[in-house]
Order: sequence, then C-alpha cells, then structure tokens
Amino acid sequence: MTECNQIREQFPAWILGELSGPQAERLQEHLRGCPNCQREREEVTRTIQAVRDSAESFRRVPYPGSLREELQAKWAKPASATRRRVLWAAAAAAALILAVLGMLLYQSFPGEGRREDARAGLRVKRPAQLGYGLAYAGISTSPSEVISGAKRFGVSSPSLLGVALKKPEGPPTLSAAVLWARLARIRSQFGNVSVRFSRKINNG
Amino acid sequence: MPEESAGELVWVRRFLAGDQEAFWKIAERYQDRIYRVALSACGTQDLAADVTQETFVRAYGALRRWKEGSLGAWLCGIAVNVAREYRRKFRALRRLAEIPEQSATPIEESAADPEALRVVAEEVAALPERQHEVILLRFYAGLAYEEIARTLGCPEGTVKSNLYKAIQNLSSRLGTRLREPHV
Repeated sequence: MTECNQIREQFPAWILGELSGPQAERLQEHLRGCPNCQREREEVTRTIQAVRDSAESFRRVPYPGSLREELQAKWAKPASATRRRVLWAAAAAAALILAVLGMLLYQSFPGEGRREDARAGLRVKRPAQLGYGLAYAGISTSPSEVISGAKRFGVSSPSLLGVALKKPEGPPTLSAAVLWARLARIRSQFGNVSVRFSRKINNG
Repeated sequence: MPEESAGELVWVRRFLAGDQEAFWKIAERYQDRIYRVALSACGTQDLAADVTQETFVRAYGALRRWKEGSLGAWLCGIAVNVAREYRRKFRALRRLAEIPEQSATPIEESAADPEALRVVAEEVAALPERQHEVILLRFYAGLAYEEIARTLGCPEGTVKSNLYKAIQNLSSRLGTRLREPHV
C-alpha cells in the first residue's frame, strides 16, 4: 500500500476530529507536499458535510399522525385477527387431509386417470381429486376462481396477483397449487403490508 | 445520572408497575426521532410509519428488559432492526415486481440544495447494510459511538472502522455527483 493510500484512509477520522495529535501532524506534513491527497481530503470533507446536511434535513420531520391512536386501534383488533388466522389454519389443515385422503383413495385404484395436466404444469395422477381439494380451499385451476381464492388470502390487487402469477420464469399460468403456496408464503412474509404495497404497484 | 435519563427511568418504572399512560409519555417523546431514523433508513413515509409503529409495539413488550443507557438509543436500536427486516422484505418484493429501490425524500424546508440531498440519500441507502446503519445511527440519530456499539452488538472500534469505510465509499460515489453544477 502506498503512503498516499495509508494517509487517505485516515481522512474520515481526521476530519471528524478523532485522530491523535501526532497522527494529525503526520497527515498535515504529507498534505503539504501532495496535491492529490489535498484534493482527496476536500472530497471527503464535502462528503461529510453533505451527509450532515442530509441528516439535518430530517431533523424537523414530525411523525405524520397520531402514533397513540394508531397503536391503540391496532391493539384493539388482535382478537379478530387471531380468530381469522385460526380459521385459515383449520381450512389449510382440512385441505391437506383431503389431499392425503384423495391420494390414499387413488392408490387403491391403480392405473386410472393418470395424465399430465399441461395447463397447470403440474404432474397429477387424478386431476379431479386435486380439483376437489383445491375447490375445498376456495381455489381451483380456473383463472377467475384463482383470483377469488387469492383475494381470500388478502391479496386484492390484480397487479400483485400478476406478480405471483408471472414470477419466477416458467409457464405463463402457474398451477393453482403453486399459486396457493406462493400466496400463502407472501402473506405469511408480508402480512397486511402486502396490501399497502400492492397499491403502490398500481400507482406506479 | 442526567436529568433526562432519570425522568425516563421514572416513566419506565411507572409503566412496569402497570401505568399505561407512562408508555404513551415515552412514545410521545421519541416518536418523531424514531420516525426520522425510520424515514432515513427506509426512504418512504408509509414504510417509515410502519417501522415506527412496529418499533413501539416491540418496545412495549421489551421495556422490562431495558436496563441501562439511553432509552432513546435503545429505541433507535429497535428501529434500525425493524427497518432492516422491512428493507429486506421489500427489497425481495421490489425485485419480484421490478420496482427500483427508493431513497429518503429530501425535506424542502432545508437550507441545502434539495437535489444534493436526494443524491446523498440515494447513496447512503445504497451502502452495505452495516455501513448504512452506522451512518444512520451516528449522523441521523445522533448517537455516540458507545451507544452505537451497544445497539449493534459490536466493539466501538468496529463501529468507527465501519463509519470511516462508509464515508470513503460515499466520497468515491458522490465525488463526481457533488461536483455537478446543479449540486
């Protein structure tokens, strides 16, 4: 490492007044004979001032609204939110049990109804049973029912639904099962925030 | 103990004894400061408001564990953690929806050039996570090195070296942008 690099590394500490006397003297001595480092020091000084200005510009910003009222409103709802979560968990468990039962039923009639559901992009052994399980959960492979099912997960924005349908790269229409899993994941990850964000997508 | 800290301690004790009003006193005192930290961390008012609310929700449940130091610094630490979580979640969602990152909006009443403030906010937001947080806590939240070290759970020396690296990074990124005529 050159002497200039070692000197430049100390500029932030020096400009913030955090270098010891001997270190600062060594820096000043180097600067007297090095115009490049002088320019570099000016740049770091400007940067620190710019960050201070930026921080200063936030100093007078108040919280927009009444935090107390918003939190009290938030805390007044947890009972219904918990009840909703329990209902959804029960519905999901019931759908899973149905799917397992369907699979077991199918295993007892080997050789029937095997085909690939090309539209769903999902290899299923007996589509009718899968459809029944999904219909029970409020979602089927038809686009309109997929949308209404998605709405039940709180994803009301077609844009966000479009995102869920579009990504990642793959068949243009995902299977309802994949979509269902993805929406559940989005909702568990983003909670109610996703609704607010979906509005942002629309505005954008 | 400074007078301000003594007052905070009284509020916390009253809250722990069951006085809800004491919690609202604490929230009232710190809500603007936490919001500013959140706004500089997240870049949008909606998200900053969510981060502020979540900070106080967590503080409500965790006040029993607050033992020492400045209550403001402790709350800033929670806000930075919440903002980090939200930033990560929203970065993933933005990538999914192909929406660009947003940086904090400069405040119009400031004496500094709004365009320069926007540029600085953009570059601060683009720093590596730890450097970004150190800049936020030092310059935007005004915490001392010792408080930042406690908040981030690392030695003071690490805080300083992260801050210096952040400034050098910003300096090389802002170098040309701050020299432009309009800035």
